Order: sequence, then structure tokens, then C-alpha cells
Amino acid sequence: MKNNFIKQTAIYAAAIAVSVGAASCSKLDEKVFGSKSVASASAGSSTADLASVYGQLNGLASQGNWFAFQEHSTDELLGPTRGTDWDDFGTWRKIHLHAVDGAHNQLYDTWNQLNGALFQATLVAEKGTGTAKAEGQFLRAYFASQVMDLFGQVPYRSATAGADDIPEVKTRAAAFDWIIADLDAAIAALPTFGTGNDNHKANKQAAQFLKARLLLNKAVYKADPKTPTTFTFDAADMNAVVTLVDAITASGRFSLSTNYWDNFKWDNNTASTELIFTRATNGAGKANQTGGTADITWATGMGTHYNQAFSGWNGFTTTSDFYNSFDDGDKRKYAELTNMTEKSGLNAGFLAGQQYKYDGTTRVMVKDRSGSPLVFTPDVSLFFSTEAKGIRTMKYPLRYDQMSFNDENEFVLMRYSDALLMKAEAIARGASATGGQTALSIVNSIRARSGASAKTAVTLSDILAERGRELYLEAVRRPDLIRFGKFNDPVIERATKSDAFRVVYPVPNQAVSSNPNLKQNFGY
Amino acid sequence: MVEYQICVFCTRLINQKLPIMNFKIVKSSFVGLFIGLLALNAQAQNKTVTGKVLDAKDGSPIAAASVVAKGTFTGAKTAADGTFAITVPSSVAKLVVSSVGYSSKEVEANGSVTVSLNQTSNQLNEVVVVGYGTRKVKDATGSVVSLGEKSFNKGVIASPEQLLQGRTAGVNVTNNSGEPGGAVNITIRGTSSVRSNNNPLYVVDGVPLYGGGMTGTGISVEGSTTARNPLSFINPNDIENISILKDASSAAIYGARGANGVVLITTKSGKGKPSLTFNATTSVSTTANRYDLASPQEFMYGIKKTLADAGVDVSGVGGNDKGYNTNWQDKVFQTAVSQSYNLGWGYSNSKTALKLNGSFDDQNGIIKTQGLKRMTFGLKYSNQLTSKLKLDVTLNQSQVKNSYAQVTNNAGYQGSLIGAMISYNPTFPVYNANGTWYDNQDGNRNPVAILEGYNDKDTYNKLLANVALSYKLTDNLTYKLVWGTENGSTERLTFVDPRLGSAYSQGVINIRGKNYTGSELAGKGRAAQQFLNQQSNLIEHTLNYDKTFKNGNSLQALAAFSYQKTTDYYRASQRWGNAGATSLSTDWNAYTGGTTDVYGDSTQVELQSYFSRLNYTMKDKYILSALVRVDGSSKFSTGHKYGTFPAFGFKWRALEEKFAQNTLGKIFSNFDVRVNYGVTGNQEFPAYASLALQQSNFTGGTSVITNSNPNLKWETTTTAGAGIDFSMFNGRLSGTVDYFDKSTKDLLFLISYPQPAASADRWVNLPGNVKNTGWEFSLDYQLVRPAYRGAFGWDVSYNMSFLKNRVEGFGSTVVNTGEVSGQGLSGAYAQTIRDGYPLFTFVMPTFLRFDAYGNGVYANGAKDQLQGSALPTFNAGLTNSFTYKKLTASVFFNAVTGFYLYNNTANALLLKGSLKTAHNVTRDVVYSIENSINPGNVSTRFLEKGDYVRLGNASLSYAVDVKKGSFIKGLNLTLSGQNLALFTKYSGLDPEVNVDKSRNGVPSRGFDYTATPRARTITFGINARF
Repeated sequence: MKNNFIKQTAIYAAAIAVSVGAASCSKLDEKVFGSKSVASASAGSSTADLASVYGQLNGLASQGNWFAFQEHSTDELLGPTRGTDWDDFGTWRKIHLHAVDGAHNQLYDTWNQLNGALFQATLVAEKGTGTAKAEGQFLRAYFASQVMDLFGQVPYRSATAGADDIPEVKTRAAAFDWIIADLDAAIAALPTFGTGNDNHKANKQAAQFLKARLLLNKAVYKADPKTPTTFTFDAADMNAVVTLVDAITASGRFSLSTNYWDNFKWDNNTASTELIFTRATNGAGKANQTGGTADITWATGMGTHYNQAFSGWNGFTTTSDFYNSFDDGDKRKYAELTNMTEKSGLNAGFLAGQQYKYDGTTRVMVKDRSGSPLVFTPDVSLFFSTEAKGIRTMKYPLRYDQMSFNDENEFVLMRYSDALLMKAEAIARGASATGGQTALSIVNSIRARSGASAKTAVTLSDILAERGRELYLEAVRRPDLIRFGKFNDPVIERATKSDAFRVVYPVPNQAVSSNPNLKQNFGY
Repeated sequence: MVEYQICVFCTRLINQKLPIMNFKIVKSSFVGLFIGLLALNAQAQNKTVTGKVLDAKDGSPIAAASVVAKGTFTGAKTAADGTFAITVPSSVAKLVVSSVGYSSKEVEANGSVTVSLNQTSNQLNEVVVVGYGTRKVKDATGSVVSLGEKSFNKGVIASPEQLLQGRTAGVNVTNNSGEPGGAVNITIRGTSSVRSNNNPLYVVDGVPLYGGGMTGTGISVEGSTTARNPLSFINPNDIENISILKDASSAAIYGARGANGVVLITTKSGKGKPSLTFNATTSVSTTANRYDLASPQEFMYGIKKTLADAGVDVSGVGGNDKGYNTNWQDKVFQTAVSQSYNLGWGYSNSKTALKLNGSFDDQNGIIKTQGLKRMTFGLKYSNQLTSKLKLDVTLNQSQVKNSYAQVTNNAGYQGSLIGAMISYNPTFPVYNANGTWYDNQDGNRNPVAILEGYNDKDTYNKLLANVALSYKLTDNLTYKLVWGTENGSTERLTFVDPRLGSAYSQGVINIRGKNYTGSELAGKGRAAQQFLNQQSNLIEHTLNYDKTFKNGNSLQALAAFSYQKTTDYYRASQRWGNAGATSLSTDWNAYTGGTTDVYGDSTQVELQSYFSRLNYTMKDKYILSALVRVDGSSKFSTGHKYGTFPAFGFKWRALEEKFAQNTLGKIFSNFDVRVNYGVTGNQEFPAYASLALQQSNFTGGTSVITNSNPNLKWETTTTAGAGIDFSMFNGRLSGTVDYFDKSTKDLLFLISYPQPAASADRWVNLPGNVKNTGWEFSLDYQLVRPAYRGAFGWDVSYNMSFLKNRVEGFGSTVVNTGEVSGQGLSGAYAQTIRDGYPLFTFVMPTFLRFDAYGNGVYANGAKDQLQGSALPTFNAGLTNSFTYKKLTASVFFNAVTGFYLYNNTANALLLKGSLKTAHNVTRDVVYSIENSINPGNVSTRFLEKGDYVRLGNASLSYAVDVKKGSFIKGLNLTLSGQNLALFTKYSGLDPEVNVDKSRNGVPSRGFDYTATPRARTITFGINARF
């Protein structure tokens, strides 16, 4: 009986198993589950796709990659090795020393970050319609201009390219024209800057701003990369810069904010009257929007000491020369902010000297890790620095509430005072003054708002210096220095002039080997 | 029990969605066929043959000899007194009688018979398990090693690879750390794949395991923990035999999954009269080696000295001395007691064999909170239902409970448990006066707080079952159907105490684009939940033809179809809350401060194969084996799904030649020459690699995560090899020499995709080869042959292998891996893969010395230079076994040389500069001339040779006298030790270490970073048979 049962069961099992076997003469198609799906061929046409392109701006707010390449290569920032800390495989040091090679670890990430964004923008620019298309074109122009600026050439893959298509590569000069064409289309189709939160949406004025920035640098971008040091600025281009800046002014949406720090502190979204284009961070109502948000704490934490109220990672410092380029009393150098300084001991601008924090209600000295008072000193060594060396920066002051910081500051990408300074420079480079504004009047209006003394005359190098003070850590110092022919000059902790070809970075090795159309930049 | 299980299988099968079509087929043909066959058999007439099997030399009875009705499956085993009884169809004319170590014999199947078997001079007639069948050793054309229980390593064993370590040539087993059930790295004949994993295919009782990790990586607060060994569910006590298919001619029967070799595990089956076995062991483990850390006095001296040297004001230094003397290693490590129990019962008769096995293991780690508890149940049943139809059922159900400590493989500045244990200030107390953990509010973590405030456990259930039906269609032709299933599920829960403070829970959680910010998380406890489910089903149809011709030549042929479908489900979520709690809550619902969305992903992979094998034996001296397997995988695009994997092997048994008998025959008692060639594949890369995939984000929108490659195809390994098997001195010395040349091409690799593109990389077949060549030697020598039963005997068994690895045709491609972790080491790496060098070659500046200021001086302008590789070039194992009267003893040494290790622990923590920030270091660092501002760059300063010799295993066993007729049939007492001595110049704790330091998904080898140290273990065991 028992055996029979086993036999029958076994046969039944066998029969079913055979049928499963027969059923399983499979086509071996892949089944994709859950949150994953096969990428859609129509990608680029939905609003979510556009939101994802904006999301690509988030990465720019980090302390590394794009930001590091634009800033550490200048006099504004350096990342010293502090004994066992911050050597980081020489990644920061190499940028400051102008010794980046194609194997640099952040170079590849930056290349992928900007080009990935460029591709997503291309999908929207080429498959979207109406305003969305124009937004895509503006965003593509933004990312492409950064690729052009850093790498001196721009690869292009169309929205309909096949998986094995090798992207063509545009030279710097050709890329320039291509980007301008995108911007012209965007200017024509984008709406005027609105009110409220609109500064993190593409708008006509942002496109005009970007076009002005490109035209101001046109001499650089059109130059032969092999002889990149002297540039001839065409008066027509300079006049076009003035016209574009005047158009931004004429929109009536922007004016200089009364307080410089309104442009950067936690409530800059509402307090500032200068923000043309920004990226949202975790503020109220903005957290976790489609495309995510930028994390502004990197900008704050990269310099502050572990034991300060905003416990940072005690890294980057500015150079003493750059620090000393500010007048005493210039609010851009040092300002105490309500709702921050009296609660956290931190000031806006630069952190120098003895640092303080609040122990309940009493102001106390911050100590370093070995228990000595924490005094940030101006001297700093790229290779051998101790804990307290170097003056730190505090560009994005965070509101200090209930023992924690709110990181809701908008991340600034384009700002009206930059537009005004572009106009001043264009006039100084031969454009006609308009609207009663001269290079001197513009520079003085900007200085006056921060409490710096008025100038009686401005030269081109005064304008460069003023741009430095006004726009530090806004990722324009490197192109500024290049345009003024000063990028290769020695700075603190880079004692010798660097080679002229260093005005563009090398294309990362992995990228060169992935695309036969990419040729390594001259000199590398 | 048996019936119940079969019913479960039926239900499972019925629950599968079967197309209506196939039900019809089932009804009309298969059921009919089987019922018909059954009816035929019911009518057959039977007869019974009885007899006795004896040793021809001394007439002693041979127990457990196999008696099989020729041409059928019907068989019986002899009892302890050599007797047997077998009922066979009356049509059967002959019985085949065989036993291990004897030549088989055929006798008439009539009445009562006495069979005398001749001992074979060696073990050539022993049967080895090869894929889809067994072969006699003398007929095996490939390189197959078979290890039985007595060759296994003894002691605390968490997974089957540990049984093998060092015991066979060409198989390199590395325990990645000393964690109980920790990951084990096993490579057979070298590392051939760059990107895919190099683990062999495991086949348990005929069912290929899917293999993926089952424990999930821990969602740790800082750094990630390595998944535990997926094979820890197997009860090592239940393993009868492990066969390793080393060469391609054998492994190619597993086609696309054979490239890294195949490990065939056979579990125990019932034999002879009903018997009950019981084993129990108790083990004591201690740290084999500890860090030589500075004492409080040395520590304070070191801080003062370094600060003074750096010109820093030392007036505040005294504040670092809190006056206690805490040995943090004592607080973290323990003497661990582990236990293991195993109960087996089984029998066999002419028709059925049954084996039941149950075990319980409680393994405790030398880190206080690490451990593994395992319960297993095994059933192996076979039934000759009719003279033609045979049923085999194997079932293994196990539950493994892992307990983890926060030992991570990529901790940064604040370190994991081991990092904190090394560097935490030794003058700090463990607890405050009120019993809370001491915290100096300096951002450093109290190791005891990490230990006690962290609870990380998982429960892993696994069912592995297969049902096979064999039907003899004719005398020579057998059809076999196998249905197997592998069903595993894990739940892992991780809890972090809120009292660990801000240092623990400040980080932002970002899940698929959505941020859960620091301000929400600060000061709160954290909880993470992970579920993993894996379901794999296998169906195999095989036809076996086995014919011995009148001239003695024989032919075996196999044709088969196999289909396996595996689905993985993973989901996880995290919570926070419990602020202000005064104890660690391990209740998921207590964390009410907030929760993440549930995230996770599922994958499904199908593998479909057609294969065939032919073995032909001519005159017992030329043996040819040829096979081909066609494998299709869902992982590739249409047109590239199928790969063809052919192989052949040839063996020449030289001494069967007349002309050789007077030449070679004078020296050798056996001399076989083998050559083999084969192609195998590797499909161990992620599913969907050929597709452009997008993932939806929690913030809306999607991100494209991979680019497509419709031309992706199989990575293949071609191996050619040759070998000699010989024995001398009438079998006292036997050995094997093998050479192989293995080349892997079309390497599957994730590389840069030309930008601009939706994501950074895509999978391609990289040009170039990874080449492995090697020599393998193994020798067994009966140094002292016992003169009589109970006299002194001494066997020596030695194996060694030489291995060369090289990357060729790689062009200018450079792939860097081996991320170096620690403070000030972001972005650092130390290993590279490039043309003309072995895989896992280290690359870094060459450190020369410290200059007069104590700063590092490097060769060649501190430029990167290629250094040695992490892959060993030489492995050896030496076993000495002794028998004397009731005692047996064995001592096993294992040597591995020719490789380098990167001491990331020293690079990150054992620097002079650590003292400056009041972190403890080893004593040698306190007194070193290094300047405290000298950065710890990656350099050869931390690269060391890893050569070692280990006294890996020693055991002493005593067979207690049991009275004849007593209810106890046998009693053995065993004392064994693991990791008893280590001889090495490596400065870290143990050179057998491999912390996962992969970079961009490219695996690394040979990194030591705050791994769980290895234990020294003494085990006492008792083994009783009833």
C-alpha cells in the first residue's frame, strides 16, 4: 500500500515535472522587475525627464569634481594635506599645482557628470516641445559650456543615436557656435523671469546671462588651444555683452540686494533680488522634488573644523593673498549674521583667528583635537599642514536652529552682480557705455553695498580683483584668470608659473580610450 | 515523512503556471507512458539470490560491498558479516559484485553464492563523482580530485570550502577573515575572470546551486559589511564526498558555468543495517594573534613627543590622560566556546536506502557579538520502485542565524569596531560611573559602545531539494528526470542605539534620489530591515546509454536537456527614532521617528542547456571522452544568447600495453597519461547587462542606470592540459602530475561608455586574455606500512601547485582597483590590471626611507610604480597521518607563497600622525622616527610579502573498545586543533586575509583592513555509532 502510494505520487510528480520541463523550452527573454524598466525610446519628452535634467545640477554643489577644478586651480582655494588627514591621494594638491593628468580620479567623474547631464539635456532639447524644449536647450548650453570650458572640446551624441554609435567631437571653436545657437533659440522661446521660486527654472534672462558670459570669453574659446595666452576681444562681442546685460536689467526683475549675504544665506530664495538661476536645496516645500535637490552642506563643511558648531571636515582654506585682497570692513570678508553668529559663533565670509562657539549661552573658545585653542592661521602648506593652518571660507551661511543647521540655501549659479561686472568689463574692453553706467560706476556700486571704499578709477586688473572679491567660490575664478591671462601665474603654494596648455584640463584617459574621435589635449 | 515531502513538491509544481497545452501533453502521453510501464513491471517474475562476499586474500567478510543485478538498477549492499540477499527479476542471469578497493566480479544469479574479491593494488577502481554520473578513477580522462571525509579538515567548520583548504593541488582556499561563517575565496587553477566572480560552480547532489549571496550586505551606519558565505547552510557533517572538476574536459559538462571549476558535493546516503550515528564537539577559540598596542604610559609619551616635535604647545596634552588603563582588545575579544551536534540514522536494503541527518551548531566568534547558529535537516532516500524505475529524493532544510559585529571593510576616519579598538585612547574608561558608555565628546567612538549599541542579526532559511526518477528503457538505455529546487530567504535586521550619539547618525540617507536629512536623523537610533528571497527551479532530462561490448570495449553516452530559472527578490527599508532611549531596542516598531520608502529590486535569470557526452573505453587502455554543451542565457540579447562549449579528454593506460610492461612496468605499478582540452564559459555577471535600464526615483522621474550592449556575448575559457597518474612500489607510492594552460577571452567588463550618454559605463567583451598556467603535483606515500593490524603506520600526503597568471592583449586599457580606506585616503587605490602583468598587481610609489625630518622619501619622484601581485604563485599542503593500535593522528601544514598584501590597517591607523590626534597605535609606531605631519600616502611602506606556513590542522583520535554485541557499535574520541601555529614575516595579524576593497565594482585581492582576526581553536569531539 505504502509502496503503491509512493509509486503513484512519484509518477504524478514526474509527469508534472516533465510538463514543466516541456513548458520551459524558453525563449530566454529577460524579465525586468519593479523599479527597473527598459529605458524608453521616448525619453526626453516627459516633464519628469526635464526635472531629471535640472537634477543634474545637484552634483555641482559638492566640494569636489567640477567645483574643485574651477576653484582649487586658482588663488581662492587649496586643499592642504594635514598629517594623516586630507592627503586623499594628492587629488586636491594636483589641481592646485596645475599637475592634473588624464588619470586624475576626479577628472573622470567630472567628465561623466557634465556629459551625462549634457546627454539628458539633449534628449529634452531634441525630443521636447515648446517651453520644455527651450529649457532643454538652455540646460544643454549650460552643461556644454562647462565641458568646453574645462576640457576644450565637446562630444555630441544625438537623442536618436544607436547604442554602438561613436559620438562626434566638436572642437572648442565649433562647440562655441553650437552653444550660442542653442542659447539664441532658448532666449527666443523662454519666458521672462517670474517671481517666487522661479529662479531655479530656466528663463530668458538666465539664457541672456549665459550668452553674455560666453561672448565675454569668446576670444578664449575661439583661440587655438596650442597658443592660448593672449586674446583679442572683438568690440562687437563686447557691445553684445552690454546689450544682453542691459536686457536683463530691462526685465525689471533684478537689482543689487542691499545685503551681500542675502544672496547666500539660508533665506536667499526670498531675500535676494539678484538670483537669476539657482539650484534648490532642502528648503521647505523644495525637499525631495522631482530630480532631487543639491546638498549645500558641502560648501559649509569643507572648511569648518570638527569641533566647530557646524562640525565640518577641516579641509580647504583660501590663500592669504586672496584673503588680503579685501579691505578691512568689507562685509564680504567678515559679517556677523543674526540667527547664526550669536548661536553658533560662526561668521559669514572668512573664518580667521580664534574660533568660538556657544556653550548654552556663553561664548567659548573652540579647541583643536589635542585640546589647544583653535586659531586659524593664514599660513598654510600644501603638503605639511597641521590642524589649524589656513583661513576657512563660509560662503553659504546656514541657519542655526535648535542645535541643528537648516541647509535650505539656494545654490547660486547665475547672479545679477556678476552680470553687472560683465558689463563693466565689456566696457573696459571697448564696448560703449550705456544707461549711464560706466565700468567705474558699476564697480563702485558693488563695492558700496559691501562697505568697501569707492575707487576713483578702474583698470582691467581692478575688475578682475573685484570679480574675485564679489564672486569667490562661485566657480568663475578660473575662467576669469584665463581670460585675463593670469591663470598660469604663480600663487601661494604654487611657486612657479605653470605651462600655458594647462588652461584646459586633459580629457580623462578612460574617455580617450572609449571614443576614437577624442584626441588628448595639446601638452598632455 | 517521505510521502509528505513528495506531496509538498507536487503542490509546488501545481502552483506553477502551466500552459494548458502542456497539461494536454501530460495527459495524453507521459502519464500513459508511465502507467503502461508500471503495468508491465507488475507482471514480472522475481527470484531471490543470497550469498556472502569475502576478501580473496584472507577470507575476511567485506561489508557494504555492492551487489547489482546486471543490466538493472536493482542492487543490495552486504552486511557487516559480508552477507547479502537480493530479489531480482527471474530474467536476470548475472550479479555484479563490487567494493571499493577491490576488482569487481560477475557471478551467476542463482541460489546461494560465495564471491571472493581481489584487492586492487591501488584505488583505481574507486568511483569518483563527475558531472551527471560517476566514473571509475582509472577511466577518468580529466583532472578530477575526490576527497572523502577522512581527508577533510577538522574542527569548527562553517562551510564546505573550509573542509578542503590546502588538501588538493590547484585549489586555493582563502578565508577572507576570522569571522564565523565569513566569506571564503576559492579559486581553482587560478583567477581567470577579471570582473565576474571566480567562485566555482557548486553542485549539491546533482543540483547546481545558483550561488548568489544570501545574507545581504549590512546597512551599516558607516562602511559596509561583507556578506557571509552563501554555502554556510550546508551541514559539513552530512558531506560524504567532495569532487572537484579542475580541468575543462570535465567541467565543460557544466558549460557556461564551468570556467572556474566545479565542486560536486555528495551528501551521505544510508548503508547497510540500520545504524544511528551521533557526533558532538565542543570547541574553544581564542585570538591567535593580537595587535601590540601602546600602553597608557607609552601612549601619553607618544602624544607629547609628537606634538613637541611638531612645535605645538603641549600644555593641554595632559587632558588626554583620563587615568584609566583599558585594554580595548580584552573588551572586544573573548574566548569563544562553540558546540556542534549531529545525529544521523540510515539503512539500506536491496530496494531502498534512507539517510536522515540532523545537526545543530552554535559557533561563537572571538569578537563578542559575532556568531553563527545553524540547524539542518537532511533526508536522502532512494527506492527501486520496480526493476526498471528508481526514485531518488534528496532534501536539505537548514536555518542559519548569523550575528554580526560592526566590522566594515571601508570605514573612514571614525573606523569600524576593530579600527576603534586599535585607536581608542587607552586611558579612557569603558563606562561612566552611572553605567553609561564613556564618551569623550571628541568624535571618536568607544569600542564597547560600538559593540553593545549595535545589533545586527539575520535568519537565513534554505531548502534544497531534488527528486529524480530513472527509468530503464532497455538494458542499456536509461532515462532520468531530475527536478530540483533551491529556495532561500533571509531577513536581516540591524539596530543602532541612539545613545551612540551624533557621531553615529548624522549622515544623510539618500535612497533613489530622495534625501532623508541629517536634521531628521541626528541623535536618533537607526533600524534597517532587509529581506532577500531566492527561488531557483531546475528541470533536467537525461538519457544515458551504457554498453559493454563482447570484446570488452565499452561505450557510455549521455544526452540531456536542462533548464533552470532563478528569481531574486530583495527589499529593504530604514527607520529612525527612539531618541532618549536608555537601552538598545531591537523592535522594528519602536523606531517611530521616520521611515524611508521600501526599496529593492528583483532579478530573474533563465539558463537553458542541451548537452551530450560520449565516453569510449577500448581494450581498457584507450579511453576517450568527448562532450559538447550548448548553453543559453537570458542575460544576453537575441542572437547572442547561446554559447557552445566543447571538450574532449583522452587517457592512455600505458601498462596495459604489452611493450610497456617490461620497461615502465618494472618501475611503475600503474602509469596513465591524460590529455584534455575544453571550452567553458562564465556567466557570473549581473542580469540585464545587455540592456539599457532605467530606474524610477522616489522623487519622481527616472534615471538611466546602464547603457545597452546588444552584442554582449559569453566570456569563454579555453583550457588545454595534460597529466600523468602513476603508482609505484606495489601501490605504496602514488601520485599525479598535471600541467594546464588556461586562457580566458571576451572578458565581460563594465567599462566607460563614450560620453555624452545616459550613464557612465556599459558591459562589453574586452579584448585580451587572462592566462593561467600551472603545474600541480600530488603524492601519497605509505611511509610505514603497518606490519599487522594495529601496528604503527605512517602515511604522507603532499600536494603542491605552481601558478602563473598574466593579462595579455589588453592594449592600453588600465583598470584600477583596490580602494584604500581611512582618513586622508579618499580616492586612493593601490591595485591595477594592465597588459603584461598578473591580475591584481599592486601599483604605488616605492617607499625608500624616512629622511632626517621623518618625512617619507620615495623612489622615482614618488611616481607610481608597478609592484608585485596579490595572487600566490605557490601553494602546498602536507599531511602526515599516523595509526597505532586504537590511535590515529594527523598533522596538516599548509604553505602559500609568492604574493603581496597591502596592509591598509597600518596605512590608515598605524601612523605617527595618529598620536597627534590622540589615537592609539602599536608600540613600534610610538618609537618610530616618522614625523607626525608625514602623510600616510599609499606606498610600498605598507606593501608586504604574505608568504606563510601554517600548522592548519592537527588531530588525534582514539577508538574506544566496544564489546561485541553491545548496543554501541563504535565510539571515537577526537581532539583536534585549528590554526595552531603560523610562520610568516607579515607584520599584520595574519596574511591569510582578503578584505573586499573593490573599486567601481572591480574586485580586489590581498587587502588587510581591520578584519576580524583569525582564531586558534581546540575541539574535542565524540563520535558514536549504534
